[in-house]
Amino acid sequence: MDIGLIIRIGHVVGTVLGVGGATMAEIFYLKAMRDDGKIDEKEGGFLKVVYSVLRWGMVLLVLSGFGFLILYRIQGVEERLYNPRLWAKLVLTLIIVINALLLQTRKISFPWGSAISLTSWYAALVLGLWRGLEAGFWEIMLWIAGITVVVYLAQGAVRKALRIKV
Amino acid sequence: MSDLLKFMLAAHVLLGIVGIIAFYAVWMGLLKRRVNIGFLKWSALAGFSGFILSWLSGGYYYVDYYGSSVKPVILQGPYPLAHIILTETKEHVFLFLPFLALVITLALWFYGEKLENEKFKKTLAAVAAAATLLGAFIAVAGVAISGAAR
Amino acid sequence: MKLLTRQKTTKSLIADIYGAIAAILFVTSATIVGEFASEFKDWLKAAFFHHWVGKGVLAVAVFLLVSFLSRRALVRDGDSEAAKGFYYLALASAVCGLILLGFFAYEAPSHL
Repeated sequence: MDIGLIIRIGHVVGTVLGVGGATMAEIFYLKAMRDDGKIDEKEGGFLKVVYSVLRWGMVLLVLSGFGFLILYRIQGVEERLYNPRLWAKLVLTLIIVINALLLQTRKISFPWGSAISLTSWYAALVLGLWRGLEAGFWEIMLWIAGITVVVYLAQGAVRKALRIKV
Repeated sequence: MSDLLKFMLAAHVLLGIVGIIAFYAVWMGLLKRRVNIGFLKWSALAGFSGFILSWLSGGYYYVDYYGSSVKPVILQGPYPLAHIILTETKEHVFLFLPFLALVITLALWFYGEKLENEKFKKTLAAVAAAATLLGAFIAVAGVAISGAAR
Repeated sequence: MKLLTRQKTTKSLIADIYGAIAAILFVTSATIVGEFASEFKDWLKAAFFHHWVGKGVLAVAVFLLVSFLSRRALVRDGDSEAAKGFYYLALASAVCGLILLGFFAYEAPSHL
């Protein structure tokens, strides 16, 4: 039984559910707000399901992610545990869960929360795929911060074009 | 590392992560206007069980293997602070978690109706937050410690 | 006839909260004391096979003892008292966690 393959499958499925969930949540939210400026019961129901899928994706991602870390330790390739890409992904995971809490308690505005969520999910996806990336941890985080601002502005422009008030 | 120790290490990490996820769910759940007491009860119980089993499996690995085989490697290697600061802190802060987890679980299982009191709910959420954040620190410290064992 | 409903007492819960706070304070102080008084650490190792196992076992004992004594001695009751207890428990765990991290970081140079 190839444990590495099982962990990889779990990690990919978690990423698909998480990134897909974050994307669909954004799209459903925009559609709902564009229709009549509010989220009715049916739309709320859809969003609830999407957020649930997103959360389960995150659970699978975190468990499989730590599965990789255990594997690296057991296989004697501990140096991978200090890889800047890995630490960036760890920090992005923390950002996603803290952002979710801030959105839940309304301590962060929806536009910023949405930008942070989308950027963090896609950044984690890209970092996972970009094996040959030669960049330090802070360089990666600075790029992500910059892209978050760009996404925030782009989302604002899209909402303005669609006449959506958040 | 023997197969038993590999199993104990894996169990320690994964059960600890289950505990952290479970108490994060409790924390989030307690911040909602309408709480789902059934979900909170079972999440707390899962979290408490996770932390206890992580304590036992991690304890076995730590006592039987870490001190004699991993600690000297870290101390001689390029990142000795991983043991001097992180392991020393982690191994003791970990002892807080079962007590935090027990109080949260007892509160939800036997005093769930008290959640109608906002202050009771908010401060219990603070305890769940403490369990989650301390757990997250321990998990991240564990990554840094394992990476230094070379 | 007016039916009187009794509010569920929270004395047991408050007692357990006090026990948890005491256990956390014990672990923190025993850890720091152990770093300065090697005799204490040696005693833990002799009595419990490993100092960390000893601290865990004693922390459980402290929790049970304080929880038991609090049940007998507690006068205060009620949701507000329990809420206060939760607040102090969260605070104690955060502060003690930071104390331990700060302590080992401060002591680190002497171990290098």
